[in-house]
Amino acid sequence: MNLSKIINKDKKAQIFSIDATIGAFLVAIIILAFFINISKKSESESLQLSKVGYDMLAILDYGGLLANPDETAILTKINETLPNQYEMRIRLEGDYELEAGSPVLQRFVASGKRVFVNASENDYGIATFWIWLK
Amino acid sequence: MNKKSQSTIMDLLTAVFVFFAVFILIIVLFSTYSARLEKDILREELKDKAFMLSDILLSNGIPADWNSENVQLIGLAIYDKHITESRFDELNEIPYENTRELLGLSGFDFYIRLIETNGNLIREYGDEVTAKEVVALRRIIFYENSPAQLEVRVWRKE
Repeated sequence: MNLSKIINKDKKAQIFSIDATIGAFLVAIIILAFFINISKKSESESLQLSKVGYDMLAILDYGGLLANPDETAILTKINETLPNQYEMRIRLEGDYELEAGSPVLQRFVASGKRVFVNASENDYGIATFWIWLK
Repeated sequence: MNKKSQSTIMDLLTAVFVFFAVFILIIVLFSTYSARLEKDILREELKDKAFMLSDILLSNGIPADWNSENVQLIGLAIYDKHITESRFDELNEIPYENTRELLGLSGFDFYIRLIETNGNLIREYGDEVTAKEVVALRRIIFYENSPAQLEVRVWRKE
Protein backbone atom coordinates (compact mmCIF):
# COMPACT_ATOMS: atom_id res chain seq x y z
CA MET A 1 0.00 0.00 0.00
CA ASN A 2 2.71 2.43 0.99
CA LEU A 3 4.80 1.45 -1.98
CA SER A 4 1.97 2.09 -4.44
CA LYS A 5 1.44 5.56 -2.89
CA ILE A 6 5.10 6.35 -3.34
CA ILE A 7 4.98 5.18 -6.99
CA ASN A 8 1.88 7.30 -7.68
CA LYS A 9 3.51 10.34 -6.09
CA ASP A 10 6.60 9.84 -8.26
CA LYS A 11 4.47 9.61 -11.42
CA LYS A 12 2.65 12.84 -10.50
CA ALA A 13 5.95 14.60 -10.05
CA GLN A 14 7.13 13.34 -13.40
CA ILE A 15 4.00 14.67 -15.12
CA PHE A 16 4.50 18.12 -13.55
CA SER A 17 8.13 18.14 -14.68
CA ILE A 18 7.25 17.19 -18.27
CA ASP A 19 4.48 19.79 -18.27
CA ALA A 20 6.82 22.47 -17.02
CA THR A 21 9.53 21.50 -19.52
CA ILE A 22 7.11 21.59 -22.47
CA GLY A 23 5.74 24.95 -21.29
CA ALA A 24 9.19 26.46 -20.88
CA PHE A 25 10.24 25.08 -24.25
CA LEU A 26 7.26 26.69 -26.01
CA VAL A 27 7.82 30.05 -24.33
CA ALA A 28 11.52 29.91 -25.21
CA ILE A 29 10.68 29.21 -28.88
CA ILE A 30 8.25 32.16 -29.04
CA ILE A 31 10.73 34.56 -27.44
CA LEU A 32 13.60 33.31 -29.62
CA ALA A 33 11.52 33.65 -32.81
CA PHE A 34 10.66 37.21 -31.80
CA PHE A 35 14.24 38.26 -31.21
CA ILE A 36 15.58 36.52 -34.31
CA ASN A 37 13.01 38.32 -36.45
CA ILE A 38 13.57 41.78 -35.06
CA SER A 39 17.34 41.51 -35.27
CA LYS A 40 17.33 40.30 -38.89
CA LYS A 41 19.37 42.56 -41.19
CA SER A 42 17.62 43.91 -44.21
CA GLU A 43 18.71 42.53 -47.60
CA SER A 44 18.31 45.96 -49.15
CA GLU A 45 21.28 47.18 -47.14
CA SER A 46 23.54 44.73 -48.96
CA LEU A 47 21.85 45.63 -52.27
CA GLN A 48 22.69 49.30 -51.70
CA LEU A 49 26.30 48.37 -50.96
CA SER A 50 26.51 46.20 -54.10
CA LYS A 51 25.05 48.93 -56.30
CA VAL A 52 27.56 51.48 -55.03
CA GLY A 53 30.36 48.91 -55.58
CA TYR A 54 29.28 48.23 -59.17
CA ASP A 55 28.92 51.98 -59.81
CA MET A 56 32.44 52.54 -58.49
CA LEU A 57 33.89 49.85 -60.76
CA ALA A 58 32.10 51.46 -63.73
CA ILE A 59 33.63 54.83 -62.82
CA LEU A 60 37.10 53.26 -62.65
CA ASP A 61 36.51 51.36 -65.91
CA TYR A 62 35.35 54.43 -67.87
CA GLY A 63 38.27 56.35 -66.42
CA GLY A 64 40.60 53.70 -67.94
CA LEU A 65 41.93 52.75 -64.53
CA LEU A 66 41.05 49.07 -64.75
CA ALA A 67 42.74 48.49 -68.11
CA ASN A 68 45.86 50.46 -67.12
CA PRO A 69 46.13 49.79 -63.43
CA ASP A 70 47.99 52.18 -61.22
CA GLU A 71 47.38 51.59 -57.53
CA THR A 72 47.87 55.23 -56.54
CA ALA A 73 45.54 56.51 -59.27
CA ILE A 74 42.89 53.93 -58.34
CA LEU A 75 43.06 54.83 -54.66
CA THR A 76 42.90 58.55 -55.43
CA LYS A 77 39.82 58.04 -57.61
CA ILE A 78 38.12 55.89 -54.97
CA ASN A 79 38.84 58.46 -52.26
CA GLU A 80 37.54 61.29 -54.45
CA THR A 81 34.40 59.54 -55.60
CA LEU A 82 33.20 57.04 -53.02
CA PRO A 83 30.78 58.52 -50.45
CA ASN A 84 32.39 58.94 -47.03
CA GLN A 85 30.40 56.24 -45.25
CA TYR A 86 31.85 53.45 -47.40
CA GLU A 87 35.17 51.67 -47.60
CA MET A 88 36.23 49.53 -50.51
CA ARG A 89 38.86 47.12 -51.70
CA ILE A 90 39.35 45.99 -55.28
CA ARG A 91 41.33 43.23 -56.97
CA LEU A 92 42.23 43.23 -60.66
CA GLU A 93 43.08 40.00 -62.44
CA GLY A 94 44.25 39.74 -66.01
CA ASP A 95 47.80 39.76 -67.34
CA TYR A 96 48.60 41.26 -63.95
CA GLU A 97 47.26 41.08 -60.44
CA LEU A 98 46.69 44.08 -58.25
CA GLU A 99 44.87 44.68 -54.98
CA ALA A 100 44.10 48.15 -53.71
CA GLY A 101 42.10 49.67 -50.89
CA SER A 102 41.53 49.13 -47.22
CA PRO A 103 41.83 45.64 -45.74
CA VAL A 104 38.47 43.96 -45.24
CA LEU A 105 37.82 44.07 -41.51
CA GLN A 106 34.05 44.20 -41.32
CA ARG A 107 31.72 41.25 -41.02
CA PHE A 108 29.04 42.68 -43.31
CA VAL A 109 30.63 43.02 -46.74
CA ALA A 110 29.10 43.11 -50.21
CA SER A 111 31.10 42.04 -53.22
CA GLY A 112 30.79 41.72 -56.97
CA LYS A 113 32.73 41.44 -60.22
CA ARG A 114 33.02 43.35 -63.47
CA VAL A 115 34.68 42.14 -66.65
CA PHE A 116 36.62 44.87 -68.38
CA VAL A 117 38.31 45.09 -71.75
CA ASN A 118 41.92 46.05 -72.18
CA ALA A 119 41.76 47.24 -75.80
CA SER A 120 45.48 48.00 -76.16
CA GLU A 121 46.45 44.48 -75.08
CA ASN A 122 43.49 42.91 -76.92
CA ASP A 123 42.66 41.14 -73.67
CA TYR A 124 40.17 41.24 -70.85
CA GLY A 125 40.41 41.17 -67.08
CA ILE A 126 38.18 40.72 -64.07
CA ALA A 127 37.73 43.33 -61.35
CA THR A 128 36.37 42.19 -57.99
CA PHE A 129 35.23 44.59 -55.29
CA TRP A 130 34.46 44.31 -51.59
CA ILE A 131 32.56 47.17 -50.04
CA TRP A 132 31.33 47.82 -46.50
CA LEU A 133 30.13 50.58 -44.24
CA LYS A 134 32.78 52.32 -42.14
CA MET B 1 -7.00 15.79 3.53
CA ASN B 2 -6.95 19.56 4.27
CA LYS B 3 -3.27 19.81 3.44
CA LYS B 4 -3.85 18.09 0.10
CA SER B 5 -6.60 20.55 -0.94
CA GLN B 6 -4.42 23.51 0.11
CA SER B 7 -1.59 22.29 -2.06
CA THR B 8 -4.00 21.79 -4.98
CA ILE B 9 -5.25 25.39 -4.64
CA MET B 10 -1.67 26.68 -4.45
CA ASP B 11 -0.90 24.63 -7.53
CA LEU B 12 -3.90 26.09 -9.34
CA LEU B 13 -3.05 29.66 -8.32
CA THR B 14 0.55 29.23 -9.46
CA ALA B 15 -0.60 27.73 -12.76
CA VAL B 16 -3.11 30.59 -13.32
CA PHE B 17 -0.43 33.17 -12.47
CA VAL B 18 2.10 31.59 -14.81
CA PHE B 19 -0.53 31.29 -17.54
CA PHE B 20 -1.50 34.95 -17.33
CA ALA B 21 2.11 36.10 -17.09
CA VAL B 22 3.00 34.16 -20.24
CA PHE B 23 -0.22 35.24 -21.96
CA ILE B 24 0.47 38.94 -21.25
CA LEU B 25 4.10 38.53 -22.36
CA ILE B 26 2.98 36.99 -25.64
CA ILE B 27 0.39 39.74 -26.24
CA VAL B 28 2.98 42.47 -25.54
CA LEU B 29 5.58 40.80 -27.79
CA PHE B 30 3.00 40.28 -30.52
CA SER B 31 1.79 43.89 -30.53
CA THR B 32 5.37 45.22 -30.45
CA TYR B 33 6.31 42.88 -33.25
CA SER B 34 3.23 43.80 -35.33
CA ALA B 35 3.99 47.52 -35.09
CA ARG B 36 7.60 46.89 -35.99
CA LEU B 37 6.64 44.61 -38.86
CA GLU B 38 4.30 47.23 -40.28
CA LYS B 39 7.08 49.81 -40.15
CA ASP B 40 9.54 47.37 -41.74
CA ILE B 41 7.10 46.57 -44.55
CA LEU B 42 6.68 50.28 -45.32
CA ARG B 43 10.44 50.81 -45.20
CA GLU B 44 11.11 47.85 -47.51
CA GLU B 45 8.46 49.13 -49.91
CA LEU B 46 10.10 52.56 -49.93
CA LYS B 47 13.52 50.98 -50.50
CA ASP B 48 12.15 48.95 -53.43
CA LYS B 49 10.71 52.11 -54.94
CA ALA B 50 13.97 54.01 -54.37
CA PHE B 51 16.04 51.25 -56.03
CA MET B 52 13.57 51.08 -58.91
CA LEU B 53 13.65 54.86 -59.31
CA SER B 54 17.46 55.00 -59.34
CA ASP B 55 17.63 52.14 -61.88
CA ILE B 56 15.06 53.80 -64.15
CA LEU B 57 16.82 57.15 -63.96
CA LEU B 58 20.13 55.51 -64.86
CA SER B 59 18.62 53.96 -67.98
CA ASN B 60 18.33 55.55 -71.45
CA GLY B 61 14.62 56.04 -71.20
CA ILE B 62 12.02 55.29 -73.88
CA PRO B 63 12.32 56.37 -76.64
CA ALA B 64 16.11 56.52 -76.45
CA ASP B 65 16.10 60.15 -77.64
CA TRP B 66 13.08 61.17 -75.58
CA ASN B 67 12.03 64.71 -74.89
CA SER B 68 9.36 66.22 -72.67
CA GLU B 69 6.76 65.84 -75.47
CA ASN B 70 7.21 62.17 -76.42
CA VAL B 71 8.63 60.57 -73.27
CA GLN B 72 7.30 57.15 -72.22
CA LEU B 73 9.97 56.27 -69.68
CA ILE B 74 12.27 58.83 -68.09
CA GLY B 75 15.93 57.84 -68.16
CA LEU B 76 18.62 60.43 -67.58
CA ALA B 77 21.61 58.46 -68.89
CA ILE B 78 22.70 58.69 -72.50
CA TYR B 79 24.69 55.51 -71.86
CA ASP B 80 25.85 53.48 -68.84
CA LYS B 81 25.65 55.88 -65.85
CA HIS B 82 26.42 58.98 -67.96
CA ILE B 83 23.87 61.70 -67.22
CA THR B 84 23.83 64.89 -69.27
CA GLU B 85 22.63 68.39 -68.58
CA SER B 86 20.28 68.31 -71.59
CA ARG B 87 18.50 65.22 -70.20
CA PHE B 88 17.99 66.95 -66.87
CA ASP B 89 16.69 70.05 -68.70
CA GLU B 90 14.10 67.86 -70.45
CA LEU B 91 13.11 66.38 -67.10
CA ASN B 92 12.56 69.87 -65.70
CA GLU B 93 10.10 70.53 -68.53
CA ILE B 94 7.82 67.71 -67.35
CA PRO B 95 5.35 68.57 -64.57
CA TYR B 96 5.97 66.72 -61.30
CA GLU B 97 2.63 64.85 -61.34
CA ASN B 98 3.31 63.51 -64.85
CA THR B 99 6.82 62.46 -63.89
CA ARG B 100 5.48 60.57 -60.90
CA GLU B 101 3.08 58.63 -63.11
CA LEU B 102 5.78 57.93 -65.71
CA LEU B 103 8.10 56.63 -63.01
CA GLY B 104 5.41 54.33 -61.59
CA LEU B 105 5.34 56.14 -58.25
CA SER B 106 1.60 56.66 -57.74
CA GLY B 107 0.95 56.95 -54.04
CA PHE B 108 4.51 58.11 -53.37
CA ASP B 109 6.43 61.35 -53.52
CA PHE B 110 10.05 61.70 -54.56
CA TYR B 111 12.95 64.08 -54.76
CA ILE B 112 16.01 63.75 -57.01
CA ARG B 113 19.25 65.65 -56.82
CA LEU B 114 22.64 65.54 -58.44
CA ILE B 115 25.57 66.44 -56.24
CA GLU B 116 29.27 66.79 -56.83
CA THR B 117 31.59 64.38 -55.03
CA ASN B 118 32.37 67.17 -52.53
CA GLY B 119 28.65 67.51 -51.74
CA ASN B 120 27.81 70.67 -53.74
CA LEU B 121 24.39 70.65 -55.33
CA ILE B 122 24.33 70.49 -59.14
CA ARG B 123 20.67 69.97 -60.06
CA GLU B 124 17.47 68.99 -58.27
CA TYR B 125 13.94 67.97 -59.11
CA GLY B 126 10.87 67.09 -57.09
CA ASP B 127 8.98 67.83 -53.93
CA GLU B 128 10.08 68.91 -50.48
CA VAL B 129 10.23 65.98 -48.06
CA THR B 130 7.00 66.01 -46.05
CA ALA B 131 7.02 62.60 -44.37
CA LYS B 132 8.83 61.24 -41.34
CA GLU B 133 9.62 57.91 -42.98
CA VAL B 134 11.87 58.65 -45.95
CA VAL B 135 14.27 56.38 -47.79
CA ALA B 136 17.26 57.97 -49.50
CA LEU B 137 19.86 56.24 -51.58
CA ARG B 138 22.81 57.38 -53.60
CA ARG B 139 24.34 56.11 -56.80
CA ILE B 140 27.69 57.09 -58.25
CA ILE B 141 27.35 58.40 -61.78
CA PHE B 142 28.98 60.62 -64.39
CA TYR B 143 27.47 64.06 -64.87
CA GLU B 144 28.84 65.74 -67.97
CA ASN B 145 31.69 63.21 -67.83
CA SER B 146 32.70 64.04 -64.25
CA PRO B 147 32.02 61.70 -61.31
CA ALA B 148 29.02 62.82 -59.26
CA GLN B 149 26.27 61.33 -57.15
CA LEU B 150 22.61 60.85 -57.89
CA GLU B 151 20.49 60.91 -54.75
CA VAL B 152 16.87 59.80 -54.74
CA ARG B 153 14.47 60.16 -51.83
CA VAL B 154 11.11 58.44 -51.72
CA TRP B 155 8.30 58.62 -49.21
CA ARG B 156 4.63 57.73 -49.04
CA LYS B 157 2.26 60.48 -50.21
CA GLU B 158 0.32 61.98 -47.31
